[in-house]
Amino acid sequence: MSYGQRTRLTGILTYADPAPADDGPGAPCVVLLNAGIVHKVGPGRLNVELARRIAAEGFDVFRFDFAGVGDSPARTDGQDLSAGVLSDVRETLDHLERTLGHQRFIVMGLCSGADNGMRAAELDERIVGVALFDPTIDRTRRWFWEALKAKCRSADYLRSILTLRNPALRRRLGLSVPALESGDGEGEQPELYQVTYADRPRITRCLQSLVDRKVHLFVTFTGSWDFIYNYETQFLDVYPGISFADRLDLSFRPDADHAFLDAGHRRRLIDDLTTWCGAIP
Amino acid sequence: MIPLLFGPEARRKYGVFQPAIGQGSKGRGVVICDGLFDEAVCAHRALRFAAGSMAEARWSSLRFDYFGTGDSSGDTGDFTLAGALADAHDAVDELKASAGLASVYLLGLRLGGALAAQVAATRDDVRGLLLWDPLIEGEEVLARYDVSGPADESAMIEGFSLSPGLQDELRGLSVERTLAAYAGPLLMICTAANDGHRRLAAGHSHIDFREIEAPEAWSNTALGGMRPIPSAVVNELREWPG
Repeated sequence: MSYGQRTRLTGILTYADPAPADDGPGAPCVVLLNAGIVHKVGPGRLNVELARRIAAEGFDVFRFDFAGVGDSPARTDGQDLSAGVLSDVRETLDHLERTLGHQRFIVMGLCSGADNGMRAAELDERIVGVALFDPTIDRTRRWFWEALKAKCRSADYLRSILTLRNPALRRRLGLSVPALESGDGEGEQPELYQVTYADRPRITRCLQSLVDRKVHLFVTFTGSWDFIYNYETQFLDVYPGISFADRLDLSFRPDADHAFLDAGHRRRLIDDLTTWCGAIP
Repeated sequence: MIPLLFGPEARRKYGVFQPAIGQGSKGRGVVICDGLFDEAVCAHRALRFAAGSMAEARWSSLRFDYFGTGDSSGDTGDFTLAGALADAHDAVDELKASAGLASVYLLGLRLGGALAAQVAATRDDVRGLLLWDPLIEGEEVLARYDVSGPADESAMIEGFSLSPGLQDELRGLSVERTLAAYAGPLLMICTAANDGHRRLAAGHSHIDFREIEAPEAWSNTALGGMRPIPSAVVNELREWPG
């Protein structure tokens, strides 16, 4: 599909198979968002596999490229990236409502796609479910304890402490710390990674508004995110004031990688997602 | 950019047709053959940029995904070199029809270079070949992903499946052998030239070989596709053959 009033966006619809019955409200339409600047196939073709498997459970699934990503041209309407992403989601839902009659949507995204999905759901009441894979999250006091426990299981770490070579320990003792060798640009983050919510109060308000609207949440964290998330219930500890009740499906997959490149982990994620989608009334 | 589906019903491919910009003559057409696995994901931005830039120089283009890859039909395990070769032939026919051209050029990046060379060697409606960091031997793919064992089990590469059959096909792939049957115009641009590229250029006087200092469009980073776009390469492509 090529659509959009402000910028021509490009997306691919995978029709529900079997097709839903004509009577009744029908299943929500699932919309997959870009992970960073990886185009709409997703890392390791994750979004293609997600779309086909979820469509086989009776959901229309749409994956598209934000303006300036993949096969959608850069926007020319002057909106900044943060606002532009939200416009793109709204235009996409409008288009799917106009052409297919969908009025309820489930939005899914990995990494920045998760954060953008959360932001979009806050603003658009047609979104009844949000699936977040490795969204932005704050560390907790227990995170540091869990990280320390994990480190102490490492012989290299214990050796660095005992021989005073550990950089953190050296800083604390006022000793010199060897400079790191210059990097190769791996830390460079394109702008699209920087348009999301970054602070806990803002994310809290967003999540609270979703809970108030009875939006269903699927939140999962992988082992690749262990530098900020390292135990099953950390998400609940970060947002203790929010009563998610039975609308939150939270999981921690310590053995999985960020992009679910391993076939087994990917299969389990998709199985869990299809089950979760099927339970949304 | 005009997204489209093409090819036989049983092997539908996703492609993006980029018409040449400008009035007057129809200009030239180029079919863009991508690399494979994570290299294709990483190179997507660069190839989109190349297609857009070449359109300004009066090139129409068709980028596409092989069956079983990207946005095309088929599962990852369905990808074979023989199938991808047939897909590239389909893409040539599609571009000729879409742009109203009698002949086209082929641009191949990495593995796509090897496939483009095979297509060019067997058709008389290919005007020239542009190779961008081409693989010289299929074994390079296996070495890059450290697949060294017997081809009796599937290997997983960055979420993609490298079946035993595909491993066998890669072991038999040689651009050098293919180019023995192609004597047409040929530009080979390398941002990461190796001995194989230099040997190939030395052995074929019709190859216009250029080594260019630019980022590797296809090499992996954290989530893929984040390398700077190698505009120096694109400038050479759009102006060739001059």
